[in-house]
Amino acid sequence: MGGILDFLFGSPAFLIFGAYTVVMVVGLGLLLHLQLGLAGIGNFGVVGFWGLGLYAFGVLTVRYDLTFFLALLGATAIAGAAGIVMGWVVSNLDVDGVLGATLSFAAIVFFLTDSERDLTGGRIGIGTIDFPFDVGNRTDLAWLAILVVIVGALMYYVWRVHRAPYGRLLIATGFNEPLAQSLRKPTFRTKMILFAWTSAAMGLIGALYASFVHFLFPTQVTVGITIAVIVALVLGGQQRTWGALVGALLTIALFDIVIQLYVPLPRTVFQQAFPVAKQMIFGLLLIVLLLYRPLGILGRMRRENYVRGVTHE
Amino acid sequence: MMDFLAKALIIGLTEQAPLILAAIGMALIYFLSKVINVAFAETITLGAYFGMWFNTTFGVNFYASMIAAAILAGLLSVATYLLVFRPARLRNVGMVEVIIISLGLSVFLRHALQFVFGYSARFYDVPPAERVSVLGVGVTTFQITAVALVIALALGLYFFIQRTNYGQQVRALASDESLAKVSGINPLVVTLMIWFIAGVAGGLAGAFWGVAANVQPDLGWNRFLLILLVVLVGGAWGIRGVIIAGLGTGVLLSGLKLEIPPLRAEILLLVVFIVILKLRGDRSSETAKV
Repeated sequence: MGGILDFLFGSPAFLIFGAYTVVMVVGLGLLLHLQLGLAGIGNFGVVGFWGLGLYAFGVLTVRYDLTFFLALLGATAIAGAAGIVMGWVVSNLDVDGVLGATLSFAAIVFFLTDSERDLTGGRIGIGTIDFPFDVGNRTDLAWLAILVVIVGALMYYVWRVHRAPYGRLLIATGFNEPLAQSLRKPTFRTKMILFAWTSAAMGLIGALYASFVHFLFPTQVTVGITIAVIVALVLGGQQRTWGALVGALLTIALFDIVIQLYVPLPRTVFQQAFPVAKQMIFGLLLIVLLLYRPLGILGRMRRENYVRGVTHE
Repeated sequence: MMDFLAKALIIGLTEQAPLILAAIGMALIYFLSKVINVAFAETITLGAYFGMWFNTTFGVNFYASMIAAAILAGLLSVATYLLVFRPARLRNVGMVEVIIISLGLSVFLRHALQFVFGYSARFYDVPPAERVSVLGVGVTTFQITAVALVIALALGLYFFIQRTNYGQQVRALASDESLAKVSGINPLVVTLMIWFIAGVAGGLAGAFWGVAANVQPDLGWNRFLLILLVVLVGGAWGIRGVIIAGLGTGVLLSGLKLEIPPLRAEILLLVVFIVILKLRGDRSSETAKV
């Protein structure tokens, strides 16, 4: 017990930062799982919705002096509004069109962080964004705990969705849209509503990150986040509830926590070669996995069917 | 007004000539193999690196190093097809998954090349570009070469695909693979040829972008989105459509940049593209209706 307490409360800030990144990627991965794994929407602009929430929260608190909860609500609403618009755009596009539109959206958000300097501070950044409460020098640990609760709730929700009529509707829409349409399922509306609320949730996760890092820079909203989320989800299993968690533990947790803390490599290696090699391995993982094990590590496991609860009826 | 249009046209054409070149290359792959190849960005980047490598290590001038860049980028493109995209095709990997695979390849190449060519930006060793004035716009000789090459390549490809026997095979393969096979066309040879030509176009685009500024790992990736959008929007009307869309993008972007801050111009351009993509709608459903 003492060991665990030591681990938690004596842990360096670095470890908490790594853990926070892992939990955040799990959260975003769960949302992408709903979009891509179930409903078949290839969203390549995850960082756009997350980054919009992040920056909206920063601008609302620093420039407009909103209280924490109002800013959180505002940031989520802004990301959700963008989700409604982009959901309407992508819900009847083919795969190529969705790729073009979502990548464009992410690029627009990135450009906005630099072009609207009066609001965002441009490359100088925007800050300081404080935690809404203060419990001494372990406030960041408390913040991590809050994120764990939120992502845990999201995971429970996804677990339920897999066993609910709504999940079957999403899977039908993703796997065979014309068939779902022929059964009079409103696939366009289904995809649009799903895209809207999951985008809002990505924005919420982004807004929470603002308090955690205190300062926002355009370099935080680059494609690295999207790739981390896609790699985690594909590695774990894009059609599985636990996929994002397993994938994030094997990628982000392994590289950013275990190797960085416990493998004795020279400092210069960690500064340049290590991050580059890490991305190389991520890229290679995507190729090898999708060629040889497209459903990820978890795959289908014991059950042959994607749809839970139908086979035994 | 005429003056503004002429300026936008010249800046757009000279600055975005490599964009048109790259878009033609990517569109060839898109038409024939029905693949959106995100790693085409790295074919461009590596074209720039290959040219820089020949230019600085062997001391050959820019135009000679361009040939090396073109051939090596073409071979790289063929290698990516054989090692990644062909296996994916043989395994019937889904469309979204192929895009994710190509994204993985893109990330892999973009970082692997840093262990070969170094982390920081590299430069071509060329005498400072001579500037000539075209209707009051300063244009470098490299840019004029790029424009000439775009015109030559576009005309050459048009002739090749519409008029020659090989071109007919390409068109046959693109529209109906099994029928093409029955007619005695070797799909692998035709496909490799197209991926090679695509790589050549991408590599040349990279070399021109590289000599105009510097050569760094993100060179192709930073320009990939516009290339993709040009291919998606113009692709419905063949190579001609891609050239027109590329030219339109260049002129619109340079015109906007003359009026509003550059970043806002880029944002506006992307919004325009999203609107066009929405209007274009789902083209895959056309075939599903059969």
